[in-house]
Order: sequence, then C-alpha cells, then structure tokens
Amino acid sequence: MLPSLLPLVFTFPALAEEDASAPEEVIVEAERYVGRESWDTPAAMTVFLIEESLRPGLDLGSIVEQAPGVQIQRFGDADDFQGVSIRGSSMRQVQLYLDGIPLNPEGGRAVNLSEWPIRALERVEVFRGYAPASLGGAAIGGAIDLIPRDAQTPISTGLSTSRYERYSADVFTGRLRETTTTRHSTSFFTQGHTADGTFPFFTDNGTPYERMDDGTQTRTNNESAQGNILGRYKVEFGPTTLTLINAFLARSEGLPGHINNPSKNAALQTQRNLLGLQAKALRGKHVVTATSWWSHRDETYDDRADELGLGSQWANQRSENLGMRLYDQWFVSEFAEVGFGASARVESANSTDLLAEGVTTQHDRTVETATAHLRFDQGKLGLEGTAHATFLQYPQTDTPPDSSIDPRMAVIWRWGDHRLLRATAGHYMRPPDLDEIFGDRGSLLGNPNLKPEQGWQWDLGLRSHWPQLKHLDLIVDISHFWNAGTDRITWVQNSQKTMMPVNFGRTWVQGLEGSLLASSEFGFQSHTSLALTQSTNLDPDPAVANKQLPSTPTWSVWEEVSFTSPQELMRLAYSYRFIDGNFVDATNWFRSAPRSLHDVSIQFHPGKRWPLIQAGVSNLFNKQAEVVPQNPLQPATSARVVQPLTDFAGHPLPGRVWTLNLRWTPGGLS
Amino acid sequence: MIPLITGLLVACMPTVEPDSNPNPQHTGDTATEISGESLGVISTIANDYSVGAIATVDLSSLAIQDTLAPTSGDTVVRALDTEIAVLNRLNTDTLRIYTPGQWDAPDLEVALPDLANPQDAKNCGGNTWVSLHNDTQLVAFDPHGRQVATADLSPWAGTDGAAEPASMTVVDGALLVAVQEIAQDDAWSADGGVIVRVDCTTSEVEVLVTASPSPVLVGGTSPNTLGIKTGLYGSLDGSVLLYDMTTGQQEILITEAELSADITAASIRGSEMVFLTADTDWNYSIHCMDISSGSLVTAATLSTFLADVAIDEYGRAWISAREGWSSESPSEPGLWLMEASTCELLNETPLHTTLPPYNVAFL
Repeated sequence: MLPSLLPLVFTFPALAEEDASAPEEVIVEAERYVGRESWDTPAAMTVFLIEESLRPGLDLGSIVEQAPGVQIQRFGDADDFQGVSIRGSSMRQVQLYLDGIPLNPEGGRAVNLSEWPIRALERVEVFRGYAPASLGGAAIGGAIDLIPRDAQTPISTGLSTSRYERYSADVFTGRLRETTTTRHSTSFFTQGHTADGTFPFFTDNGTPYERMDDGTQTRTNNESAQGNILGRYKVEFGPTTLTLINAFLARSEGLPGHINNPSKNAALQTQRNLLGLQAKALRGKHVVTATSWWSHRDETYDDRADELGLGSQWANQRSENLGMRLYDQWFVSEFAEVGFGASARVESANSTDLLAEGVTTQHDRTVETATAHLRFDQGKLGLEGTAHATFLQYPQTDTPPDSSIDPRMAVIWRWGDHRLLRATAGHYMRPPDLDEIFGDRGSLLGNPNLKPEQGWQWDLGLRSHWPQLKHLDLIVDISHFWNAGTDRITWVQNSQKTMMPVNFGRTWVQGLEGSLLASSEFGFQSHTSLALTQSTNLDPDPAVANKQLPSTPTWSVWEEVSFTSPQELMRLAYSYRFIDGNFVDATNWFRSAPRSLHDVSIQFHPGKRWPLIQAGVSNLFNKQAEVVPQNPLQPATSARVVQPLTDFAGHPLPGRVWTLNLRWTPGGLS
Repeated sequence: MIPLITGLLVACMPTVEPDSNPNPQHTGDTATEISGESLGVISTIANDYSVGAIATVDLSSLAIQDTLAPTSGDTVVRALDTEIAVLNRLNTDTLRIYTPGQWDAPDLEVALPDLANPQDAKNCGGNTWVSLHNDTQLVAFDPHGRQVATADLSPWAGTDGAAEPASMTVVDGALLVAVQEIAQDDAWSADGGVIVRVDCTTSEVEVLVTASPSPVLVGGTSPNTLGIKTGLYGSLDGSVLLYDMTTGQQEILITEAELSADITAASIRGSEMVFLTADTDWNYSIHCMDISSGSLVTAATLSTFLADVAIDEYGRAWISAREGWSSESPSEPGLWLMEASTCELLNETPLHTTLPPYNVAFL
C-alpha cells in the first residue's frame, strides 16, 4: 500500500506514445482524468491522493500547502477559516472545484477550506497558475479540484479526538451494482465535529513596549460545530455516464477576533448546499460533458456589539448560483484535439439587515463564458492554446456590462520515458464580485467603478523520474514562474468605519518551486517541496513602491520523512514546515519572524481486519511566540521583544496539539 | 547556491519610480515669529489602514520628519502640554505618551480595555484622562501608568452599554467632555448627546449643556466660549454652534441644512472657523467663516478624503487629505495649509508624508 498521503508530482502512463496513438482508449481508460495527469498536462500540477491511513491532524489546508508555492492563510486553529493563496495571489484569485463544479466561479468568494472534510475526498488536484481548459475559468492564482471518494468500500468509519476538546466522527459507504448494460455506483459520506477551541496563547496585550502585562490567555469564543453530507450517485450505460452529486454543510462557529481584541459573542452560522448533475457521453470522436449546478449559501453574521471592528452588524446573507457548462472534447486525429466550451450562470446575493427591521437588498448578475481549446500532442511534443471569454451583465442596475478575453498557451516536450519540459503563458482575470461592486454588508460599501483584476504570467518547468535508481525511486519537479498583475482589488477603510474596495496598482511576482519525492524499497519515503518567491509592489505610492507583497513569504519549505514497516504494521512520520518571515502590511514595516513547525505521528495497523490506530502531535515544540524588533522602523538599533505567534490576519495559532484517530474498515483498508 | 539563485531572481525584478516623494525638508513663506506652538505632530496612516506612523512638522520651517514611530492603522495624536498622546485603535487599543524627539520608545504605554476605541486624551489634575468611546467611563492614569481614577458616565449609556464619550478640553481645571450617546445597537442613530463637566480631583460629573446629535468639541472663540459641532454622519441634521459657558447662550454659526452637505470636521480658533463638508459623491470642500462678521467662503473642493482640520496658533488651518473614493480623478494626499482669515491655500501642492496624514496636534 502506498503511504497515507502520496503527492503524485507525476503520474506516468505506461507509454505516452501508445496513449497518443490511441486517443479513444485514453478516453475510456482515463475517463475523468483526460489531460489531468502530470505527464499529460503542461500545467504545474500537484496531485494528492487521500487514503484511509491519512496522517492524523491533517486537514485539507495542511495538505494543499504541501504543494510548492501554496500558502494557507488561517484565522487560528484547524477549524477556523482557511483560505488558499497560490504564487502570491489573493485568496479570491484561486478557483476551487468539486469534481469540476465551480465552488467560487470567477473568484466570487474566498473558499474556506475548513468547510471541506478531507475524508470526503480521494484526490486533490492543485494547478499552480495554468489550469486545464476543461475546468473553464481564467483564475490568476490557479485552480484546485477536489475529487470525492469513489471507492467501493462497504463501510469505513473513523473517530478522532484532539486536545482542546475536539471530537469528530465520519462514515463513508460506497456501493457498486452492475447489470449487463448498466453500472450503478453510490457513495455517501457524512462527517461531524465539535470543538471547544479554547487553546492557550501568548499575548503582549498589544503593548510591545510594556512587558509587565505580557502573559498567556485562553482563546475564547472559538468553539465550532460542523456537519457535512456528501452523496454521489453515478450510473454508466454504454458510453454515457450520469453523475448526481450533493454536498451539504451546516456550520456554527464563534468568531474569536484579533489577538488584541478578542470577542465574546461574535458568531457566524452557515448553511450551504451544492447540487450538481453531470452527464458525460462518448460519441464517436467526441466526449461531451454537460455540467449543471445549483449552489445556495446562507450565512447569518452576528456582531451586534461590533467586537470585530467592522461596525455593529446582524445580517443574513444568502447567495445563489445556478449555472450550466457544456464542454465538447473532440479528438480530431490521433494527434489533435479540439475543445469547445460554453457556460452560463445566474448569480444573486441577498442581504437582510436584521438590525434594521429586516431591510433586504438583492443584487444579481449573469455571467457567460466561452472557451476554445486546441491541443496537439504527438507523444514527444505537445502544444495547446486556449482562449477564454467572459461576459458579465448586471440587470436592474446602472453598472455597465463587462467582458474579457483571456488567451493562454502551453507547450510540453517529453524526452526519454520519464522526462519532460513544459512552459505556459497566458492572460488571466478576476472580475469584482457582487459584494465588491454593491457592498451592502454592514460597514462594507460597494464600488461600482471597480475594474477586474488582471495579470499576465508564464511558467517554465522540468519534471523527471528515476524509477530504477538502485533501491530508490526519485521524482523531481522544478518550476520557475513569473506573474505581473494589475488592478488588484483591496478593501480600504474610509471615515466612520466604512470600507470600500479599490483597485490597487500593479504587482509583480516571480519564483522558483521545487519538489522531490524519494522512496526506497525498504519503506523509507521522503517528500520535500520548496518555494522561493520574490514579490514587488509596483504601485507608485512612495509608501509601498517596490516593497514586498504582504502575506507572501520569500521561502517556504515542507518536508516529510516516513518509515513504513514490512506488512505495514507500523508507520512513523515526521514533518517539518518552514515559513519565512513575511510582512503583514504593504509598507513592509511589520514582519513576522520565520517560523518552523514540527509534527510527528505514529500508526499501528495489526491487520486488515483490525482497526487502524493513529496518534500525532502537531507543533511538537509548542512554538507560540517569536522574537522581533521592538520598533520595526528602527530594526537595527531597536531592542528585541517577544511577540505572539499569529497568522497573516493577527489571529493566534495554537501550540502543541495531540490527535488520536481510530479508523476501521470492515474487510480492510482501501 | 541559494544566494546565487536569489541574486539572479532579484536581478530580474522590475522596479517602479515612486511618485515624487517628499523630501522631508519643506519650506514655506508662511512662517511668522514662533513663540508658543512650534511643532505639529502628525498621525499618518497607510492607504489600506494596515499600519501608521508618527511624523512631525516644524511649524516655522515646515520641515517634516517622517516615520518616527509605528502606530496601528487607526490612530489619532493629541497634545498633552509638552508631550504627545498616541491613541491606537483598530485591534490595538492603547495609549502611548511620547516626549517629542524621543521616538525610540514611549515614556508610557498602557493597554486600554479591548474595543475601548479611545478618542481623546488630556492632562488634568496631574493625571492623563482618556475618553473611551465604547465605555461608560473616563479613565485617568498617573505618570506611572496606573489607573487612578474613573469618571462615571453610565447615566448616558443607553441600551448599547456605551456612553460614547469623545472629544475633551480642559477649562478651569475641569474636563469638558462631549458625550455622544450614539445607539450603536440601532444603526448608530442618535440617542441624545450632552457636554459634561468632570472635576479632575473628585471625578464628579455634571451636565453642562445638551448638544445633539453626536456632539464634538471643536475649539472656541475664547476660554469661556466652546465650539460644538453636532450631526450624524450621512444625514443633514447637524450644525456648528458656539456655547457661552458664562451666560449659557448658544449661537448657531452654520447648519448642514443650509449647506446641503455633511459637516465632517471643524476647528475654531479666535474668530476664525475652518470646516470641512462632504457631498454624496465623496467630494470634500473646505470652508472658512469669519465668526465676527458671519462671512462664509468656500475655498476649495477636492476629491481627496479630508480627514481632519486643526488651526494652529498662527491662524493656519492644517487639513489632512487622504486618498478618497470620489469618481473624480483623485487629488493628491498630504497636508494642506490654509490662512484661516483669508481662506487662501498656502501651498500649491500638499506637504507629503510617506503615509497619508490623518490628524495633526500642536505642541
């Protein structure tokens, strides 16, 4: 069995040349993953397989950030908000999908990864920058596709408990029924957790010059409870597959606030449902995929005491998204493929001010996209080009319609059986979302004059695999990327505590990314990913000109070393995460110190029919503080002081946390 | 190897020529003989309100010293005799007291209650009093930072549990405090508004005058005549008036209804008043009034956000201009100087600080 989490930096088909000469076989065999394996795509792609023996304490955010160039911005512990940034992008510039269904089309919101239980997934695909045309979109940061579990497991269940009174349970079941003409598969996953979230943290009480009031406090109003249900039904008859998927979430959480202004009562209630229907049909040389979705999100935000500093608010926000996408993948010849896609969706945001006797406002927009894609691949050399057009209309308002055409292209050159060079270049955009245009969320005002965020980028990469290197199997992936952005949307405050989004100059980011996966036949495995990112703010404002972009650390490193005993009776793992110091402000005055976090875990699995027992400790050395200059404007001469360890938004992170897992799959683990 | 890679990457990085920035040395021809106030201390705040810094301006030479000490992204500065009080808000509610010229570290730093939202600080009775907008009391700290007194404002707390005390001034050894009585739990509507007098020795509180809605003290024409600005943000319900503490008479100088605009800030010194208004398109205007004659002049309309105005001892109004939201092409942020008596701008371009200015206090 593979280790619990195997990053498939590459997935090599047996012989690429053979695949290329038999495209129809590719379609049948690779049904879902046409063009979605590292060997097939010129994209900078990292794939994570989520297995039953996933290391304890890992969630979706901590898995995704193992890809080089990916940063997770956390608002505290594992159950608080987690947003993802790729290659210095903002969180809204990353587009997420559930099995190809967009969760935040056109970057309509920053997806909270902590809402998605990792055990519901079997695979996570991370595209840094360039993403496949079949996904649609032109996200600046990249795309992440979450692929739900589809294993034919009668039942699999798990219980978990962690420090600070966190308890969770999950159940998965999958069934397969086949007749002579059809194949039915049904899977159902449910998960729930409750967490007290009352972890201790160090605080300087907001007074870096006064040391007498430093000490440890307990995080309050950080409790959360969440329930997820994910069901999928798939029926295959002949060359046609129909898939119905539904993902439901109910979540209740306290919003504990900034480290220096902890809240007591601020809370958020969320209900979300995503219903998707996908039909895929093979007709001659065409694979036609029709995907429709309806998503509904209902949030009640309650901060009547203005504890979070955004004004007194008690509001219900409802957003709906109804859309459909068609994509025709036409294999013109054994070397050439043409794709045409079109989508249309209706989006609405409905806000009810519960403080103002239920005054309700609603805003709508319609979005259409069209995608044309051409791919030529004769085995050694592959070329592809894509043009993606986006059209936006805002009915019942004076906001003018907007449109954008974003071309991109890529080349891939394979030599030998296991090496390739790839390069991509393109133009990307994210239009402002309804909140940014119309506001109406308490103290958040809209700006109808906002321009879309746009950017040009290219990247260049090398992948190589040495499968028979004595006792070792080595996979290496190296990339260089370059990204120039304009009109980045940033929320700024004006008088009277109101905030409005504005376009904010030009930015420039480049970096090197590397990934190394080594595994030996003796059970040792090592996975390293590393990113070196240089970012520059090209806004001419003298306060920020040529400064580093906030929340974009220069170095980030992730390393995991594991040993799996024969027969997989025991597994030991150690991982290390290094995040370089990064600035919390565009003026580059306040720099968090570099932080190194260490995790360990151990796993016992006496036999296939026995439960799997896991124990892990994250932040092994209980790091809760960092040393920084007392006066950051005079760092060379200033005294050094101890500062609380916080994430990008000033929320404290927990210290050492242990986790115990018990997992059981009658009949054995998959 | 790593330095080599880093060096190669850095060599590829583009740079931008920053907008012409301030040579910290500015000169003007407006200086007169300086005898009293000699220094302006400026709270400067980043456009995205993430951070701030203290800057100073020499009132004689107009030379600016910039980025002297870091502050939060929502900070005001207040004069305390010979020291300066820095009131940090926005996730870091603290009081710092600096001696001008010694910016390495404050003489005193005190954590204020979470979400206190401090508005003003004044020395009175040997202590430093701070108004906490989100509280029902004023607090007083001795020179060692110990809280030694409170003044109870709970009778004006309303249903939201906060009396919203804001601006303060010291008259005859007592604090005069504008208690705004805003109903934060009812969309920040007006729930009254009074000016109270606080005895700095006994902490006793008495009502001086009712002033509604949302009063702010904006100086005065004489030691016994208070300038009071009233009005909620976004509605034409306010005015600027003079209150004679000896006779108890009130004189309305101008109303928002007359101007058809929101009065966002005002400063009165002697017989001069300079005030700012905002229209619905986020354009701000600067107006001057000769209080003795009642003549009103509108000096300029700018698309920048005019955050504050303060008149110095020499009759110059200092107007803090920040990047605004107006659909017009944005005016330049910085400090505008205006001769209050003639309503003429004294600089063709504003004085620049690295971060745009938010408010100015004079020592």
